[in-house]
Amino acid sequence: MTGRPGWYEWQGMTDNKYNWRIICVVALVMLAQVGLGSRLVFLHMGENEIYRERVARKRKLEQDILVGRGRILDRNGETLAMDLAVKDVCADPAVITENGHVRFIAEHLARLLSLDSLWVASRLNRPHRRFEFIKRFVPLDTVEDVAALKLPGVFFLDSSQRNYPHAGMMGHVVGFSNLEGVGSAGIEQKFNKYLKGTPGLRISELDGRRHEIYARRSLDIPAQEGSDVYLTLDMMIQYFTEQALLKAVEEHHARGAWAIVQRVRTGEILAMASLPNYNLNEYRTSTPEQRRNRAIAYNYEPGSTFKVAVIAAGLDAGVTTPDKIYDCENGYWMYKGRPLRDYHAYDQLNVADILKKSSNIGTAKIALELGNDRLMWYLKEFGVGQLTGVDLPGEETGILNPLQRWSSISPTRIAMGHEVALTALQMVNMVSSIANRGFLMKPRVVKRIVNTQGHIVYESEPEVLARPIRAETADTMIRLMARVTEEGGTGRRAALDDYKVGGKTGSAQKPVPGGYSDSAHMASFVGFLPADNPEICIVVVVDEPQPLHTGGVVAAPVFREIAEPTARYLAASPDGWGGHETLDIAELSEEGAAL
Amino acid sequence: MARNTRRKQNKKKQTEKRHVFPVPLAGILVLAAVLSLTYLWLCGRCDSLGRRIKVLEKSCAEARKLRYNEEYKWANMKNPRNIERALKQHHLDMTWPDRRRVITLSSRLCELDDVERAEARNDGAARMVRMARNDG
Repeated sequence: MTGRPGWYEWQGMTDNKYNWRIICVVALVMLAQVGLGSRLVFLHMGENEIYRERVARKRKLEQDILVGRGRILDRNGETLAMDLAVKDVCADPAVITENGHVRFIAEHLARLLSLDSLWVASRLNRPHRRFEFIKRFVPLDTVEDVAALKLPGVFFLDSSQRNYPHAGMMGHVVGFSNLEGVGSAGIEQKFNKYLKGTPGLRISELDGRRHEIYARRSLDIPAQEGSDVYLTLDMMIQYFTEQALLKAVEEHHARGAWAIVQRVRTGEILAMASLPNYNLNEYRTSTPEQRRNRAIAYNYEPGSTFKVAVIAAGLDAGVTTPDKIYDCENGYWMYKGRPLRDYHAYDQLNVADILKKSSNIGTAKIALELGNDRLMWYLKEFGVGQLTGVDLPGEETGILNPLQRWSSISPTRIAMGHEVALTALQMVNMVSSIANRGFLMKPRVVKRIVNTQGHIVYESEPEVLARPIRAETADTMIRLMARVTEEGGTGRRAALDDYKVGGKTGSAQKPVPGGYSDSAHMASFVGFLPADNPEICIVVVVDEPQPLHTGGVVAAPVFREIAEPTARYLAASPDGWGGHETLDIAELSEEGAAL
Repeated sequence: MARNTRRKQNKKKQTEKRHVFPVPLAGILVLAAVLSLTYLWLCGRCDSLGRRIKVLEKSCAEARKLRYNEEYKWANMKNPRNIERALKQHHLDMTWPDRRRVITLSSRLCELDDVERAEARNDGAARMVRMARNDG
C-alpha cells in the first residue's frame, strides 16, 4: 500500500516505540493516582487528628453576636435613652503618608468631624502605624459625608453608642451607661440586668475566601436584645418642672432646686427634676455634684412643711381638734430655758390657723401634748427616717434620731421641722398619704418592662406601705391645708385659678457646725391638687435662695408654675382626672343621625 | 448475486447473539443519576438560599440601624424644648387648654351591668376620650 507517510513515520517513530511510551505515561499517571489515593486513605483512616484539628481550627467561625441595650421610655412611649448605630472613623497612617496626602486628608476630616486639623495631621503623620482612631462614635450621616470623599487610607468600623435624645431632661432618673455598656446611674444602673440583654452565639465554618458557609452553620443562638423600660414619668410634666426650676434658680440666685410630681393614688412619680443637672450624652465632663439626684439623695431639714405630719398626728391621736385654741405667746415662748419664736407674732390661734399661719409655737405645743412615743410612732408610720424603696439607686434614708437621743426640747424642734431631715421624696410621699385618705404608697418610677417579643416581664403595681392616719383625719387635714393657699395663708402664691390647692410652705435655716446659718435657707412648698379630690402632689425645694428665702415667696410660685400647666395637660390627656363637661358618644351619634 | 449476499448478511445478523443492557441495572443507574442530580440541585439551592439569607440578615441589620437612627432623630425633634423653639420661630402662641375648654367624651357605661362595665373598662372599649376646644 502506497500513499502519504503517517505522522509517526515522519517522526521516524515505530508502533513499538509508541506503545512503550503510552505504557510509561499510563503507568506514571496510575502510580501518581495510587500514591495520592493511598495518601488520601492514610489521611482519612490513619493518624490524622493533628491535620483534622488544624483544618477545623482554620475553618471554624465562632462569633459572639453583640446586642444593644434596651430603650428607656416615658409613660407615653417617648424615647429617653436608646442605642444608636454609629461608626468609628479610622485611618491607616502608613498608606496616607506613603501617598503624601496627610495635609489634604487632615483638612477634610477636621472639617467634617469638627476636629482640629493640626491634631488630625499629627495622628496621620505616623508612617509606622497601620491604625489610628480619628473620631469615635460618629453619626451615620456624617460618616456618609466622609465616605463620599473616598479618602485613601480612611475607613470605618461599626460601633454603637448609648444616646439620650433629650440630653439633660430627666437625666437624674434615666442615668447613663458607661462605654462598656454597663449602667452606671439612675434607671440605667438599677435595671441594668433587664436593659443589657443577652449576647448571641454563632458557630459556623468559613470558605476559602473567609466567608461564612451558611449551610455549615451548626449553632445560631440569636441575641436577646435588652428589654424596654417604661417609666411612670411624663416628658411634658418633666419639662414643665425643669423649666420652672431653671427659672427659680436664675431668679433667686439659688445653689440648686429640686421638685417631684407624684400621683397620690398610685404613688407613681410623674416628674422628678434636680438642679444642677448635666447632659447625659456628655456625662464624662460632669461633676459629682451635677450627677447627684437631690430629690432622693439630699437630706434637708424640712422646716414648716413638716408641721403637717405633727398636726395630722395630733388630730389622728385625738389630742387636738381643728377648733382647739392654743396660746401662741405673741411669737416668743421660753420652753425649758430655750426660746422658740414665730415668724409673725400671734396671740391665740386654733389648730386650723396654726397651720395656715405656720406657727412654730402652736405646733410645738401640739407635739408636746402628743408625747414623744406617739410622735415617734406617727413619724415612723409616715416613713420618716426610712427608705421609701423607690426603684432608683442612691436613695437617702433621712434622719430621725431614736428617742434615747431626744432632748427635752426635741419634740418642739421636730414639730417645726428641725432636728429631723428628709429627702424631698419622703416629704412628697408623706403629704401624698394625707391626700390619699391616709394610705402611704410606695413611690414608683418604673411602670413596666417589656421584652423584644412584646411580653411584659415586670409590671409595677400600686403598693401600700402604711396607713399612718385614718381617712377622717386625712379629710380634715386636706381641708386645713387648702386654707394655707387662701388669702391670709402663707402659701397663697401657690393658688391656681381653676383648681383648689392644698399645701404647706417651709423655710428652714440650714444647719452649720455649731448651730444654724443666718444666711443660708431652704425654701420649700409641698402641696396637692385639686384639693377637693387630690390627684397630684408636688414638692418644690429651693436651696439657698437669695435674697428672699421664705417658702411662700420662693417655692410657692414655682409650685404654681409646675401645677398650672400640669393640671391643664393632665385634664386634656386620656388618663387625666375628671371634672369636665362630659358628653356621651352615643348621644352625639344619635344627634348626628337625627340631623 | 449481490441480493443473495445481502440476504446472507441479514440472516447472519439475525442469528448473531445480541447484548441487551439489563433493565434493572439501567433503572438503578438512572435512579442513581437522578438522585445525584437532585443532590447537586439541592446543594446548589441550599447554597444560594444561604447566600440570600446572609444578604437578608445583613440588610435587616442595616435596616435596624437606620430605624434606630430615624427614631433618635424623631425623638430629638419631639423634645418639648425644640417644639417650643419651633413655635416661637413661627410666631405661634400655644398653651394647654384650661379645664373649661376640655370636653370629655364617654361611651354609655351606665347602661351596662357591673360585670360588663368592668369588662368594657378592661378592654379599653369604654375609655374616656378628652378633647380640647380651641374656641375659648
